[in-house]
Amino acid sequence: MSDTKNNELLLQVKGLRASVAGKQVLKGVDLEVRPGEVHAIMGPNGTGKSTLAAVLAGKLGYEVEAEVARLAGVDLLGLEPEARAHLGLFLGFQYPVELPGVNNTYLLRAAVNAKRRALGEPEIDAYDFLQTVRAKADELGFDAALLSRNVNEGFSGGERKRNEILQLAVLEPRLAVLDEVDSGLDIDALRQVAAGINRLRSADRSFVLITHYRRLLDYVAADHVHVMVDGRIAASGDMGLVDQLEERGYEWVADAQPALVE
Amino acid sequence: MTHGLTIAAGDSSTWVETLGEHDAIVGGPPREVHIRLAADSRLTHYRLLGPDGAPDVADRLTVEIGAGASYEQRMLAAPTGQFRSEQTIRLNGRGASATLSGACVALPQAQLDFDIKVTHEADDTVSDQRINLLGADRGKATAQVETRVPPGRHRVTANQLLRAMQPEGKAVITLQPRLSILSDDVVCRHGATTSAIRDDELHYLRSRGIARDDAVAILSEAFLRQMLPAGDQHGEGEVGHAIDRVLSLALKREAEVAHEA
Repeated sequence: MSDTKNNELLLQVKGLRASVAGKQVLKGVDLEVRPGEVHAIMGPNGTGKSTLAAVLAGKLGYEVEAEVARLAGVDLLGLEPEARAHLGLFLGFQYPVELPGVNNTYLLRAAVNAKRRALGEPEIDAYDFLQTVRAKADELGFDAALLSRNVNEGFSGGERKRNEILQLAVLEPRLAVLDEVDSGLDIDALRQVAAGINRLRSADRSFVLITHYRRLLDYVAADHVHVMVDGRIAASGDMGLVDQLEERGYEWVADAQPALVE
Repeated sequence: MTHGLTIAAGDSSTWVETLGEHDAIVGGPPREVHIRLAADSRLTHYRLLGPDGAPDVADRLTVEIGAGASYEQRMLAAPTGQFRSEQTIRLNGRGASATLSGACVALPQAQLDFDIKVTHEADDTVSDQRINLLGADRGKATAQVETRVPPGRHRVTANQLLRAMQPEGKAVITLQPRLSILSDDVVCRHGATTSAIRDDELHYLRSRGIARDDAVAILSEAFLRQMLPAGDQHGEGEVGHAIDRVLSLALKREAEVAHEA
């Protein structure tokens, strides 16, 4: 799916460091993502994968510095979280929060219109939006009943992850960072979420999939696979690296770093 | 000024009461409302007080609920001045039930005082009191809610949940849940919490492109709407429109003052 002719970088991160409560979690992450590429970031617990996703999305509470951190050529670190979203960044949460009283369709329309206002475009009419969002749900094979419910309230784990994918489809980001979108899913839900991701892949849209296991990558083929160890990307490769991880575990990467980086 | 309302046996009715139009002011005699529900009757009682109503309102409500009757109150209050509401709810007949849902906003400079007493005078009675109180910067509110179950009552269920949210953390809110349970055969749940808007909720909305102030407004409105049944939301019907209007005025006023601050 990746457009190898396109050498323009969508995401460029170099020397990204982040600390929280005085503890350094990211210790110099380098990552380059081109339009249309799918990157998988794997690694054991506590190595900084979710922190990387949170920091890219602008979550407060981290001290962040980087030699370079750009999305579509724009410096990310100076932007508020909402401005990063307007620029085309989407974070799929590992634990999407419940928002009692906030209707799903209302949230989506507010988000779409916020982006439109930021881009100087007219807001979308409520009726037109409803048609669009129902069509997106239908396209993904998701139950449109999700739209009339409050955001993630009483949702099962699978419904929450499907809802994240539906939001992704409606918001049409350039880069989707999906933090453990496969966690807590049964096989059927995993297949449905993976099918949604594959349907949303395009030459203009890139994905960073954060995951512990290869099972998501059995359904969504990644162009590049990275392994994070101790706050850094310690190994990079193609899908063959996933096979090696299956055979040898993560300790092998930790022992071998930094020789395995592409 | 005294108002009386009786719902005849077996009847079902809805009353939309707009407070603050011709009401007693604080300091004078309170406006009094007496409601009596005869056996197996039902009343849905909306009480609306918006920022465009009288700034100061004092109110005293008494509700007597007969056997098998059901009283449901949905209150939306966002006055600009003082609002004192004393409510006495008595579940007098076997199988009576009372549900009170309050969505209240303590606007800047406003003072809300609720004194609500629910007494289970009969067996097999159910009460459920829930108040969500949004405190704007410099707003003040006190909610004193008491549930009483006298000795000798059987199979009583009493729930009470008071929640306060302070988006900017500068309101003065006092929640005083009280339980006087003097019978053994009672199922009772109660709780009271005061919190700011959660950071993870704000971050979730901002990560979707919604600016911080708009995210706060969405979460504040949602906090209040949780107290209003789904059928009344988003402008459905006459009551829905009235609720939307009061909510919109209250949140607009709250946002204006937060912005000025």
